[in-house]
Amino acid sequence: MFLIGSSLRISGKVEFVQNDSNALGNAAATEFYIDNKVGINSAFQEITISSFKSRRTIEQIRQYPRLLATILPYTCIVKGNMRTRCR
Amino acid sequence: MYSKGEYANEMSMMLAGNSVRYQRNTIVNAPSNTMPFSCPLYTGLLKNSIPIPLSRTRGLMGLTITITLNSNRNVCYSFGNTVNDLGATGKYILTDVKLTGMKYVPTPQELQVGQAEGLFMKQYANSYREQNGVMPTTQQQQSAWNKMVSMGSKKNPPPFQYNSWTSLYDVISSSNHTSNFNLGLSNVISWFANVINITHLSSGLHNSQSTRYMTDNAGTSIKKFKKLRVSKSGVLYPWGYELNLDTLDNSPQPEVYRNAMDAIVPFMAAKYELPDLVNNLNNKQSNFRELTSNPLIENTDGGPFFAFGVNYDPISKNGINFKEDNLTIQI
Repeated sequence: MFLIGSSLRISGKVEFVQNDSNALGNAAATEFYIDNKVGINSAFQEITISSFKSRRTIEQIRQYPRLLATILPYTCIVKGNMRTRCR
Repeated sequence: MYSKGEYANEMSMMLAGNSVRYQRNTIVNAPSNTMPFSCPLYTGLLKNSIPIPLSRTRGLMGLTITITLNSNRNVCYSFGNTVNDLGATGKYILTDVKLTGMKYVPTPQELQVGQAEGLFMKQYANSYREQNGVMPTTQQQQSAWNKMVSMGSKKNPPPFQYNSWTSLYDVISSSNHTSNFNLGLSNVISWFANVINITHLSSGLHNSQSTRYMTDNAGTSIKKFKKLRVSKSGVLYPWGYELNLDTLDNSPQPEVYRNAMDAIVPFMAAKYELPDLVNNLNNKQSNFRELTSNPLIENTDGGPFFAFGVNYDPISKNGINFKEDNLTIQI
C-alpha cells in the first residue's frame, strides 16, 4: 500500500480564549491576532516524520510556521470564491 | 458552494486579515468561539509527487508523524497598548484533531515487482534448509538476492526517492555578519532564509511569524543589505561575485527578491506569487505596524515578504553536493 503524501491533512477545531478560560469577546475593543499568512499553521512548531520500520528520522522541520510564512505567499493563489490552490 | 471546513482552512484565515475576531465573524460566521480548520502538511516528503511505500517488506512499514505544538505567545499576539488589548493573554485550544489522507493500491505489475524479493527469499530458504538442515541467516538470504539482481535475472523495485526540507538558524549580531552551515547533504537544490528581530519571538506583543525586513537593534528602522556573498567551502558559488546592492530608500533590491523567489519556485516556472516589489518596499504601514504598535492600521496583505536565497539547480534539479562542504553566507 502507498500513501498519497500531498493528500495528508490535519483537521480539527480551534478555539481562542483569553487568560485561561474566558471566551474571546465579540467587542471590537478586545482583540488579538494570529499571523494571516500562515493562519492556524502557526500552532504547529515542529514536524518530524520517521520510518516505523527503521525508526530513523526521514524529515524534521523546526520552526514550521516560519518556513510556511515564506513559502505560502510564493506558491498559493487565491481563486474564485476564496478557494485557494497551492503547488 | 464550498463547505465551511473548506473555507476555514489556513488560507481563508489569511484572506480575513490577522484579526481573530474578523476571521471568526466574516469567514466562518461561527456562532461559537470554535472555528473548524483543515490544512495540508507542507513537508518535502509529503509534497513529493511519488506515492510513499508503506509496505512491510519493500517500504517504510508505516510513518510516524510527530507534530509539536507552538507556545501561545508564538501563535497569538497583540500590541498591548490599550486597556482592552489582550496582549499576551490570548491562548488557543485545539480539539477534535484528525489526520486524514488517501491511500494508493498498486497495480498488479507494481505488486509483482514488490513481491519478487519476498518470493525468492522464501524459495531460497526452503531450498537451503533441505540441503543444509538449517535455515539461512538474513545476511545469507540478502546476499543471494543481491547476487540474483547483479546477474540480471531479477530486478529490484526502483529506490524510493524523495525531497526533504531542512531548517537551520543563526543569529545576526553585527553589520558585517558571516553564517557558516555544515549541511551534510548531498543533493541541495536551493536554500532561502527569512529574518526576524529576536525580541519579537515568543513575546506575545509581536507577530512571531512575520517576514519583515531586517531592522536595527531597537527595531525602529529598516536595515537593508549592502552586500551579499554566498560561497561553498570558501569559493564564491553559484555566483562568482558578490551582490552589491542599492540601499536607497526607494530601492526594492530586486536582486535579492529575484533569487529568493527562484529558490522557492524556479523563476521560469513561477506563475503566481502574492508578494511584489512595490508592496514589499512601499507598504511602510505594514512594515512599521509592528514597529510603531499602531493597531489602527489593519494589515490585510500580510506585510512584506522579505526573504533571500539561492537556487543551485533550476534545470536538472539534481542539486549540489554539500556533504563535505560548508555553506557560507556573508551579509
